[in-house]
Amino acid sequence: AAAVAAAASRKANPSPASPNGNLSPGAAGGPRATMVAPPGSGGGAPPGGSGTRGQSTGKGPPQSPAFEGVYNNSRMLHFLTAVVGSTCDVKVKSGSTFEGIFKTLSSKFELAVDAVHRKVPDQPVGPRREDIVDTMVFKPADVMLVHFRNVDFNYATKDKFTDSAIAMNSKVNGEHKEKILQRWEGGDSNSDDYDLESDMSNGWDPNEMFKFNEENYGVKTTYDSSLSSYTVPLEKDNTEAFRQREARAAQLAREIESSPQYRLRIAMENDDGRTEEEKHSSVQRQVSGRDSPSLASREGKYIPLPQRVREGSRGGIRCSSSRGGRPGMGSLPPRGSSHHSESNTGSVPEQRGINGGPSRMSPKSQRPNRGAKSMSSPTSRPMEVSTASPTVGRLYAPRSPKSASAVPVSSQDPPVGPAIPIAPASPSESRPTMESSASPTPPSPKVPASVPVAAVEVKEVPSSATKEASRTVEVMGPSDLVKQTSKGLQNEQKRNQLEELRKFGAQFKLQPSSSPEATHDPFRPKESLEGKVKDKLPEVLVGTGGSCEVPEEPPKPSLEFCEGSSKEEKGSSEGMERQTQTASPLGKGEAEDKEDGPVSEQVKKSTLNPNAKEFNPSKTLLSVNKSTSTPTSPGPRTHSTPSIPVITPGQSGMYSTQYISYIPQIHMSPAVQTPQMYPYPVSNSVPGQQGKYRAKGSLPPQRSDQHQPTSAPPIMQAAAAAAGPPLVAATPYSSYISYNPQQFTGQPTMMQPMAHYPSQPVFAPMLQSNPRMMTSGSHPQAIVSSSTPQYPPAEQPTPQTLYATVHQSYPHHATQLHPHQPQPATTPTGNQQQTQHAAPSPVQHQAGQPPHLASAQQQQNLYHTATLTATPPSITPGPSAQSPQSGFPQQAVYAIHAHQQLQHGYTNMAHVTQAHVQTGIAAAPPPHPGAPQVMLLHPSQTHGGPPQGGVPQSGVPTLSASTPSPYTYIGHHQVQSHPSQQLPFHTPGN
Amino acid sequence: MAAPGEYFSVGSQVSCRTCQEQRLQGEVVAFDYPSKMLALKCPSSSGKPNHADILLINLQYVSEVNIINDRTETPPPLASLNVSKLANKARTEKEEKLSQAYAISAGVSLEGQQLFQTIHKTIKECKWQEKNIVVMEEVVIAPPYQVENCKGKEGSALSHVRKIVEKHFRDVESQKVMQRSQVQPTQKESALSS
Repeated sequence: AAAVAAAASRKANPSPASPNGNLSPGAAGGPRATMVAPPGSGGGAPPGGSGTRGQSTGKGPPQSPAFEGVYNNSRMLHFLTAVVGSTCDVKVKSGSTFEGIFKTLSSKFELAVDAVHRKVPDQPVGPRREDIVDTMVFKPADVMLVHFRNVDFNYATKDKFTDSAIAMNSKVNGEHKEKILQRWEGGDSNSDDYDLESDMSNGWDPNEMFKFNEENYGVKTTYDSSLSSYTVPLEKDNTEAFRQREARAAQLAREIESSPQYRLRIAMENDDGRTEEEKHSSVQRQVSGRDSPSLASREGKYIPLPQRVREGSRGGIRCSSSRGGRPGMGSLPPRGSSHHSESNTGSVPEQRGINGGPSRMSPKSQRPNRGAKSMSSPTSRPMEVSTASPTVGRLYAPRSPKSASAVPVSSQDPPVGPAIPIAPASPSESRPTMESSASPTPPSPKVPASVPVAAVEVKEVPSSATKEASRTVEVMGPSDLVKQTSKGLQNEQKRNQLEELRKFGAQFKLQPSSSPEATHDPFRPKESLEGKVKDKLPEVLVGTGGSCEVPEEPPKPSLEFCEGSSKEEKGSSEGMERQTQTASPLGKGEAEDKEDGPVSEQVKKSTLNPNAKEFNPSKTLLSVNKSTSTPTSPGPRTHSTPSIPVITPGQSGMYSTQYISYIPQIHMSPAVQTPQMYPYPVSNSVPGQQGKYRAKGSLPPQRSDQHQPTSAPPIMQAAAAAAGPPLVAATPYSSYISYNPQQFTGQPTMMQPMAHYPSQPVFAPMLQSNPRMMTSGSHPQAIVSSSTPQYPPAEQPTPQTLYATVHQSYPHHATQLHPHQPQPATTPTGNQQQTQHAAPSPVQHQAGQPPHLASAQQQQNLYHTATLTATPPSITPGPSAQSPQSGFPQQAVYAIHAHQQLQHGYTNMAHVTQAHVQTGIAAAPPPHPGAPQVMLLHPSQTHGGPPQGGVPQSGVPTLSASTPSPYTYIGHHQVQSHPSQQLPFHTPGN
Repeated sequence: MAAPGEYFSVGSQVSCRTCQEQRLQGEVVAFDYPSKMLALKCPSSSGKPNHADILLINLQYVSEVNIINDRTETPPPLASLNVSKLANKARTEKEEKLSQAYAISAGVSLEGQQLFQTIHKTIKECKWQEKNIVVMEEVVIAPPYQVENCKGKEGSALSHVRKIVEKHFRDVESQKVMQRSQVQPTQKESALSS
């Protein structure tokens, strides 16, 4: 205000002066012409908000060191600085206009203008020298308007990016030194040798900085890596509450990590978890979606453990997303877990509802289960930690108990590659679980030996083991890919299983899975377990275990595949139901196991379905055997035992690659029994294979169930067959990966796996096809509908019945075959590798066995699986496992299953016959060793494969004969579509 | 927008009428409350798109201020300015003006002034020597500044300057025609008279 007043007072003077005092630079007299030097007294002192005039200050500062007046107005200062050097017309209040070159301004807004001359309206010619005043200072009060013309605001904009600009700007830390440029010593810039990536260091290492500061400035860091100043270290407590909380935390973490959003974000950061196929092949995605979240990850690229787990969940999610039905499927896995709990509880529907939210839902569902059953509920999520272990335990347990093989199966299934397809189906259901189970499964394989010993203890371990296993599986998967899919897968599976087994063994007190040896025992144990749970069931299971392994596997695979896929999509719920049913029937431990088993079976089924068709041919042989066996026992026992076996097998199969971890978890959840079971299965190559087989088998069973009931089998198969081929391409990787793990678990069949690997690719396709089948084919729906209805209503009853039947059949086969099983185990693995059939069968076997085993020991389970696989003959084992699983579902349809299997067998037989027969023959004689592998491959390739395998094992001719009719349907359909693929695989395998 | 940055928001369009009944309109770029100085940006008088005119208005002599439209957006950050570059520009501008003034005061004709401007655009190294234009210390152009008046050592420099001069007058000629046709006949005369 004061300034304004002053200005006002001056106005009078200036105006008069301006007219007069024209050119004289001094113009001292006039108020307007004052020296540029700003008066000492600051003009107005309105506090300017921003005192940063910085750069512009250049000229201003000299005049007034302190920011005063207009210098506080950074914006005004900026623009008036930008116009420095511009021509300006200064119109004073008198009306005169002076033109000059703007030079600067004072804090009081006095404008300094150079070379000023008074503008005369009519003067085209430039000013004369004598008309120009060197410098004039206009007081703000005298200035009415200043017109700066043609200002280029970009002219003086500092360039900040040239060396000179940077050097000029190097006013670092108040120092205004010119930056000394240093010579670049990075070598010849033109040479390509220099690798920008070679130097991984990103700036200084903190320790380097600390050291430097200490040496150069004597500053010693107080940094404490424990951040004790900011946080309180977590005191680990051994109390139950603490563990629960830990489990809870782990669960939450898993939930979060399994959420689609999380996966998406993670995927953006690291898409290594996704295969090219996943990225670019919608088909694969679908397939992998279900089966293979894990599979995909496993397939080729290295995936961190955590990510693997996530992947598993992702896979589930993907599955759901990719396939309309998948979401359901994804949910299904959870359901499986939930089913277990629910089955116990008897709330199948809920589980389904849970399924709706695939990953998350499943975890939750699982949790609930846990609540109900500590083991079961944890299974899905527990996988990682305690909770995971519990869940896993359950899942696995079901699998393991039902079929120690189940665990293996699951692992195997994944390896199968088809597993992916399978996984898709099951994944949807069990994905959540799958993830967890997947990780668990691997462990289970390793653990097997130990698992049996301390299933409960193992739980946690299993989860870890499973995780590791899953990891291994994944790793293996890639290798498998490189190698022949079949062998590689098998090897991987075996390795995984071995690793898992080892882990389990280490963690568990249980002996390393002596799956092969125990195979027989497992069956018995399973039987005993089942028997404990349900006398019938046990028996059935036992019987089924055997039968399943051998005969059933083949049929089941096909069925599983067909049905499995359908189930996965639609049938996931069914699977859940089955699982639940089975679980309930079996009793808690077994029930859990069974549930897990069912889940796994479902999973497997889903994956299997695609494969199922292909497998059918191979299965045909097995199927024949199975048909005979299954028909007999399945009906009676089916529900309880079958369900378990089925589930486990199917799930394992389905999950196998993806779910493998899940399965383990499931098994784990079953707690001691299941975990053990799983491990054993895993350890036993056969189990793994069985798992694959089961997966396949599971699908077929489903299909068979559906088919049989619906009479849609043919159609389904056809659809599957149609879908199958395309899927095959997509799934292979995942399936392979999965297979590998399983195979590894299968250990014994390492060699076989290799051979099988080739076939595995086929399996993968199969699996894929299965998914498609499921989706496209009415089978899935029909299956689902049929299966689900059955399961839900009779959750325990029907499923049980179904399962029981399956189990029974399996047991029969298994029992019969068991002797062979050891070999079968290998063969199963091979089968699995080949097509998932093997895996499915293993799974089934495992599942079937697990129940028995559950009661029995892990080893037993393993044995069972192994035996199952073995019994089925190499192929059969897988088939049997699958068949059991499938059989379980089918068992509901008992007759149907058998029929289906038979049909498949026929078809498969027909198609596969040549290859299968050969393989079968080879497998049959040496069963387990090399031949089995081949056998497995063949079986797996053609859905009949498992059956075939079974046939070889049990006696190809007989089996084929018996099963043929049932399988034929499946087999035919599958075979038709898959034949080529199967054949290729077979050939590789061979 | 000085302290009380509320009066005018940067970016808003403002129209005002001075005490001399002059209408001014532009976009607010800055306002200093203590001095009542308002800075507006308006289209360049030369029409160059990348240039602009800045009006610094003392609101004490403004009778009416209308805000045509207000902009709430936050103004873009101010770019840093190369002060030394601006100072150099101010100095050179001043020297040129003074140099011209010297020539004018020496009685150089308008044509001569125009020619000098033209040459100066191309060749900075030119100056007035009395009434002669000296280019690059080699070529001297004496009144009446025609092509034939270009003297110097034969060479590329001379020929180059001659081309410039030749072109200059050709352009001037065409310009005159246009100006005359457009009713601006007196410029030359007035220039001569001056």
